[in-house]
Amino acid sequence: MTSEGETSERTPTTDMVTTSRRYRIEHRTIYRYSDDVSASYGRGYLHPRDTPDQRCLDHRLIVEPEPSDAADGLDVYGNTSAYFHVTRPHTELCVVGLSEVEVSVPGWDRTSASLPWELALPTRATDPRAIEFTLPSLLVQLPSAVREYAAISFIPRRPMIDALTDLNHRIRTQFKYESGATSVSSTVLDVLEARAGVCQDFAHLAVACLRSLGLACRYVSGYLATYPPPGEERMIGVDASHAWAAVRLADGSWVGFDPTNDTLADERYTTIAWGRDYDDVPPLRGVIFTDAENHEMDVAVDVAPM
Amino acid sequence: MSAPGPTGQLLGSTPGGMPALVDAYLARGGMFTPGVGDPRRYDEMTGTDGALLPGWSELAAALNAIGERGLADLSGRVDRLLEDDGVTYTPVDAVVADPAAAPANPERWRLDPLPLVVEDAEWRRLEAGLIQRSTLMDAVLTDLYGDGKVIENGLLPPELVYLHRDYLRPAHGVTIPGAHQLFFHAVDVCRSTSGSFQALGDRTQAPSGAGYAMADRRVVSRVLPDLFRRSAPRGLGAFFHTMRSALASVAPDQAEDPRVVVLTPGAHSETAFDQAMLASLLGVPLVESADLTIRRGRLWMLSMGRVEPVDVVVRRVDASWSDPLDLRPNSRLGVVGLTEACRRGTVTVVNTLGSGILESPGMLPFLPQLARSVLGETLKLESVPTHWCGIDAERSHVLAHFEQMVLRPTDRGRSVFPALLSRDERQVWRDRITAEPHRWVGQENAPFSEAPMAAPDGLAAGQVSMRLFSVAHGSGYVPMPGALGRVQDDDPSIGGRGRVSVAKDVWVRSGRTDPAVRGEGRVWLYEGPVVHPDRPESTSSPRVLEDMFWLGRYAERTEDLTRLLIVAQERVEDFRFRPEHLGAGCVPVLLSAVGAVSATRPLAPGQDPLSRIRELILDTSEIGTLAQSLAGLRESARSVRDQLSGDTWMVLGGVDRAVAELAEAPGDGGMTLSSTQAAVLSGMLAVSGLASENMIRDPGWYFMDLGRRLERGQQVTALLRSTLTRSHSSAVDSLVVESVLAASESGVTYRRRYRGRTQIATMLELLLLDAGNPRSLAYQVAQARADLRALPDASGTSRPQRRLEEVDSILRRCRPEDLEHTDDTQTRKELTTLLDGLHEALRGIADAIAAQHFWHPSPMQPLGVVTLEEVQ
Repeated sequence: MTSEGETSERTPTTDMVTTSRRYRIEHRTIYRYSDDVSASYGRGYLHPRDTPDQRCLDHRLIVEPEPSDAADGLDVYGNTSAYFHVTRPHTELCVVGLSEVEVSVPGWDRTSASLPWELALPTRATDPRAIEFTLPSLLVQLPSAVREYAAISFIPRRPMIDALTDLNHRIRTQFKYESGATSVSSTVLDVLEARAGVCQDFAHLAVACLRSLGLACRYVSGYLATYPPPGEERMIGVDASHAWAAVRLADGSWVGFDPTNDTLADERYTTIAWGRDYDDVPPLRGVIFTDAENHEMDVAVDVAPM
Repeated sequence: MSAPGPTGQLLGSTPGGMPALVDAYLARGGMFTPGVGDPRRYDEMTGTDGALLPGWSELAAALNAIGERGLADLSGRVDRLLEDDGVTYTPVDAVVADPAAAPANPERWRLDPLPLVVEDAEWRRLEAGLIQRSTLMDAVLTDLYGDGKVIENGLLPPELVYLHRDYLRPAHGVTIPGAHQLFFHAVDVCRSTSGSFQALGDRTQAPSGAGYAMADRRVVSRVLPDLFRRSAPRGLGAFFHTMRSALASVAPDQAEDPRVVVLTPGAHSETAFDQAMLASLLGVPLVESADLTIRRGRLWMLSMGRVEPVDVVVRRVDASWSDPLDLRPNSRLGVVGLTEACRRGTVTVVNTLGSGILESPGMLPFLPQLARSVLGETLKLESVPTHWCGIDAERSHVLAHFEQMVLRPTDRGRSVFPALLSRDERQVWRDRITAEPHRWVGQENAPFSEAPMAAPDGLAAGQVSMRLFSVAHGSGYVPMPGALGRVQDDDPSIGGRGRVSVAKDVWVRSGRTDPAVRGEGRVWLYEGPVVHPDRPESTSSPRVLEDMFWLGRYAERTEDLTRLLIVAQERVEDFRFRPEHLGAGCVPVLLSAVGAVSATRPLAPGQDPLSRIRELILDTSEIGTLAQSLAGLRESARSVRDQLSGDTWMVLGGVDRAVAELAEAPGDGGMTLSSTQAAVLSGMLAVSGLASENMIRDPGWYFMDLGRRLERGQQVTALLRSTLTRSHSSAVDSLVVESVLAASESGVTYRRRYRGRTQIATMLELLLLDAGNPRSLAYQVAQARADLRALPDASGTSRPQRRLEEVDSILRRCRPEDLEHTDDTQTRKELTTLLDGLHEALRGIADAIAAQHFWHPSPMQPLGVVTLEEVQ
């Protein structure tokens, strides 16, 4: 057997190996409260979905204290979410999603991606269902400033992939990554004005840009595998959950792209769920009953190649 | 009364020389000229040709017989009955979509005494149109949350669905057992100038008004009994029986004897009366968010420290507010986890979550095509012509006929009437529609037919519409054989279109004479095995118990303060012109007692005591006044409306009228004050009479009685504390004792028992220690203990029980002669200490009851927001 370093460069057969990767993902969220919580109801989008380019090999959800009731369900977009109800009084709630996934190189259609972007515009007559992803949603409003920003990249007849890459690049270079620059209630317009935000803000902005042109665009929630600089050990738990966007091509396939990192989504990207915006697929949301006035939260995500 | 024939026979005059009511009405507005291309509205009474329609002849005859004065009486009696039945409506600004917004005050429901008559043949056509429309709406709803073929096949534009805030994505996966997804449907209809019926729109979210229709029927049938018997309109009761059995049939499979509840946003919601009425017609509990909880994936009702399963919820909370976990966060009106329970099918919520999408006026233009494609039929009940601006040609049409249109948002929101706008404003709206065309429809101004209604000076023409109702039953839909009739506001810009100004009872004349048919599906004696009653505690949620407790307290507080004010007023008047009298000193003692007992501010120096008493009755802003107690009483009563006898509203209505009379007599010399106090007192006596004779002894009742007992105990201790702990002159003390006895309704007993010899000690004996005196503290303690023992979860050792025992033993140890003793500062130290201790103990007992039974969950909070952090 030859060494991996050699084969991956040369033979087409091993290409098959490198185009698909496996990860073991641990996504741990801990809430600590200043007082007893008598009951917690939660819904989590932590179960990576199956896609044409991805298979979820295994998934477990561990909630502590142990819930008195829990169930999985499919949402309208085919994402799996978990419902849980903790009835034991607690001051700490721990939710851990453990997943194993296999992700391959995205199989979207290169030819379609090279067509002028206008050809990807869905119409009521031909793609009525895709219209849903062309419309504004609560967190993705479509003010004219967004369309103006998008139009700079989406000049008429430009191939979709070029326009997309250009927009991706502009967001990456013209916006500052800054946690705290925005809040949950920040709108796309706020982000556009502040020229700063975090990954979900950039994802929302990108989604808004494409929808403002009439293209169908999704918000995608997931994980990004990161690699340490050569020679350094991979640090566990520094990663977080991530968000990007995906646009629908003329042939109906979807291209994922990540404006936070100025790259197209590839086999480093594990998709958990997609929706119109963050609110459709938050990693975790819930309702608790408590007099506690303060809480802290810790999130740790580890995406380990297998 | 002979049945009049065509109009000709009616013409002429009444004996007084006035033209008959109906003729004057028919001759209104510049005379109707048959045959001429007249653009006037269709007339319900005469149709298009000016002659009385057959169904209206009895009504016309009755109106002519009673004349203008009789008509005014009729309106007065309707108002009175509505007040007695407590029929209210709480106006909300249509723009404030937030049902959690600050509550407005309920107003009396307005109802015209004259029914709207619909002939049998017409009704049958209308009914067929309604049933078809319900069937179509059901098919669309099923598809929108199912296969999505309607969108995929281009029968409905995707924007109309995807952008609608009542298209609830989490409702995908919820299925109502049985043949239908749409359970309850209402359609607002009006008539074109030719008399054909047209739908204005559909109500599918949580249709309101069926309860009002029944309330209207009850009132109108009472004020027009002869006409009602003669006309014999089809009854409404059977519809609610049908609904009750339909509700049982949509329960989840495993439910054997399904428990049904009506979920209301609360007593402050717009149609709170309608919701309570519906619950009572269905014979099911009216519950609020606080009464329900999801555990182990199913819905439960809190009940005396336990939980009882709920199988079917009649939802009157808008769907998006009914679950803060999966729907609108932070809603206080819903139940956390309800969506999950619905998806699992452990509970059935009707109308189902997401049904509100069908209300979009954007659907209207597409219904004819949907009917053809989905049902293979022609739409029988057409809509008022409506154009969706998302289609270019339709938008152009709307913009070209802008002033003849009503602009209605496809999502929720207020309608706009371009005809009422200035030129500039119209341009703004044109631009807005051009910018977001798919969010608007233009609906042609509906014509509305006219029908006679009672006005101060005879009959007026009101523009009428009807809300029709249907309920899914078996494989089809059953319509209500009647409707909620409505007279439109003259000025559509006020309050928006469709706001009810005056309701009308709708009489559907039956063409059938066969008495067997007139039973109309009514359920008579139940032939199954003996039905087990719901356990009485099944509707005893902490919220209900708390409201009942406060109902008891407020009723007692009102009664006690009234008695004290009556006594104080008498003393004020006794000594008004004899300030030098030996006993005159009792007046300030009593007035300060009024302040102390009610915790209101003391009499201002120089203020006339009678005007202060008047203030204490009327002032709604000062805490502790009679007005405030009455408001509290009304509020508690409204919150537990389904627990109370309907006569309660008649009693409270009488009290309100008496108070209003006082408010309208500012220059009153004391006469109205006295009569108002007497009326309030007799009202409160009636309330306690209703409580003791007309209410089932269930936990709610025991808590109401507990409230009353503790309040009366606190009132009597506070009164004694403020009047007798200081000794005054013998004359003053004697008058004070007499007054306190009178205010405590124990004067007669006292005089008889102690042979008219007034002493502090004997009076304390009677008011504190005598367990046989229903006004004494000892009696209240004994009753409160009995109430607690009667509760299903009673334990002799609960904290409230123990504390009541302590009070009891304190009372047993008391020696009245010691309490009478005064020290050198003329103070009764022992009495003061005792009364302070008792008052404190009673307050502690009330708190202990609250802590044990009025369980409030910890505040609800979001889990905590996850913001995504850097990944690069």
